Amino acid sequence: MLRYVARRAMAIVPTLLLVYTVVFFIAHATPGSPWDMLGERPVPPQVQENLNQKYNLDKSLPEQYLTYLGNALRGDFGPSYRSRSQSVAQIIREFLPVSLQLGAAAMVLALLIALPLGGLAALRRGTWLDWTIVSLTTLGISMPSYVVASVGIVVLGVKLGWVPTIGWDGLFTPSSIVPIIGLSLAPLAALTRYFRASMIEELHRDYVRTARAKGLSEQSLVGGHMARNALVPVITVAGVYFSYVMMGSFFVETIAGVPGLGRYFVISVAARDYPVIIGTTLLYAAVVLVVNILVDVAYAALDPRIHYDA
Amino acid sequence: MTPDDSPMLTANPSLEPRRKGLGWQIVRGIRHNPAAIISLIVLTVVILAAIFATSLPYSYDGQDYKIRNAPPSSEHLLGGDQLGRDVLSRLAYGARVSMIVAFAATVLTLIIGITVGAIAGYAGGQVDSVIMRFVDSMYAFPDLLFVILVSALLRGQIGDEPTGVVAAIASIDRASNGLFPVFLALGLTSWLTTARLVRAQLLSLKHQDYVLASRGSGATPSFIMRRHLLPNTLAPLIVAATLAIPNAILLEAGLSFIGLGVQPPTPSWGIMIADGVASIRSFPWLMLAPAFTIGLTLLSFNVLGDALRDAVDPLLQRSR
Repeated sequence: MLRYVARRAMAIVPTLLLVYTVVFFIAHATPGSPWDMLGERPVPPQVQENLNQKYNLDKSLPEQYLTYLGNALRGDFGPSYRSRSQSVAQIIREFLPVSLQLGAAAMVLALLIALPLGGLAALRRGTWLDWTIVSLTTLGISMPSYVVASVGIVVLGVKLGWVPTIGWDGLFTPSSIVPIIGLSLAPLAALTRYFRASMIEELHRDYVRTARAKGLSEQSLVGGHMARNALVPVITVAGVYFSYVMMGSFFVETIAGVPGLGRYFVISVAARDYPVIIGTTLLYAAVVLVVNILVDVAYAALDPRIHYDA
Repeated sequence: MTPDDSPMLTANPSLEPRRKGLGWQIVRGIRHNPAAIISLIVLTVVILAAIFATSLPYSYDGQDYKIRNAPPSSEHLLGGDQLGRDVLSRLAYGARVSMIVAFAATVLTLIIGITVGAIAGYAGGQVDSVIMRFVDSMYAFPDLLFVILVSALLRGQIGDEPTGVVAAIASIDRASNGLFPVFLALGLTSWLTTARLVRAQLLSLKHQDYVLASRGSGATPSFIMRRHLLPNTLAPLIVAATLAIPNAILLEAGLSFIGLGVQPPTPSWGIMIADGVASIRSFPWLMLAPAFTIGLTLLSFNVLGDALRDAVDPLLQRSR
């Protein structure tokens, strides 16, 4: 297992290099400069030149590519161009926790609701309850996060006045309700469907008949045996959706005014803040890759039939 | 669709009945599914609206002071927006934008995906492992991040006349009204699944007896590909395409929503939702109309995609 994880971790490096290369050249090959929009007035050419010199922007592209790569490998992603007193690492440390909290809360909520709902639908298969749950999940999959968040702000914020319409006071305050709902609906719907399908497959297994014949209570059969087996394929989907939730936070954070990394990224892109753009993209790619490895490890932990070292 | 059920499907060396069979399978699968039929009707209406968007009595950017923020009336069925523009006409034009994105993205996805998947699956060996390694690493590429990046950077060049390759890209972007980054990003990211599907199917097919027989009787690789192999990947491709469409629509509307997609005054459902959010307190229908439209369209594509998958995928049918 350890060797497998090590091998997978090694494979992250070329992928991140690919991501870095693509992002670097897109960011630098498109016209415009990071000094176009500093403050209210246009920046004088002399100042622009000095700034370019200070941040190596006067060097050739391949040179900049290698310099930045070298620094990044030592963990230095450089200063932000937009707010020059802060380094990219500081910005990520400040804004990432909010996005992570939001994403984790959305995933936990989605799993807490999806698993009972999907299991119920599978056990009551073919009834009106099953039909209602499946229809609702199709509806949930089709609703974009920004629509859900907008409607949430209207209903909960404007009409009922239960939550603030915009802003963020922390995870355990009313201000987090709308962004969490907005982010969790799509994974909730998808996970419900996958868990239902997976439970239905378990229903037909021989061990279920054996367990029933031996007089095992329905409760420990469903909870202890079937759910555990049915969870294995769902884990993969949950991993994919965690990445989705992290990305989805771009829209939701922008609408709800959440000071997370998603909203910061949108602002940085508009301001051509190269170091922040590259640093954030690499971070997101690394998160996706690490989650993929964790998913495969969880796979082996849940299903003893899976061995990676063999 | 998994590769191991395909030999059963394709054991018959003559392909003619199989191809007829696919169309028949789809019709049979949908005919007894009321939800799929309703979805088909909804999508037909959306497509008709997209085609006739410019033939409606009101234009999408014509402003009429009298209907500013007007509620629905018999003359303007869905009322007017903040600038006095007819909401229904704007929705119809937004449908055109969405359908163009859906169509172009799907075509692009299929072209790249089939080409790469076919090369990897047919060539095999080293070529296959290099290509599939690349595909695997592209899966980790944060696609939404990429779309936002490309569209924002193409947009951020006001007053700065671009040169060279970038000028060409920027002019395509202007001509496509800001849709180019969406195409580009989808082209870069969503062909991966298609390529995997095609490759898996080809790997399981290329050692079948009828392919060997064809090769033995002197058929060229490109003939074998066109005549025997690609037609057999049709079923999974149809499903992949139907599910790629809502993804493209969702992405375009999302970009437009945060101001990085289609540029005003061209309407997009995403822009209309964003405009509606601004005046949600007093005029809620300005947001609800486009939100409802996009929700219904995506729902219809998803329902139809599910029905198609059930219709063409015998493995899933068995486990249902």
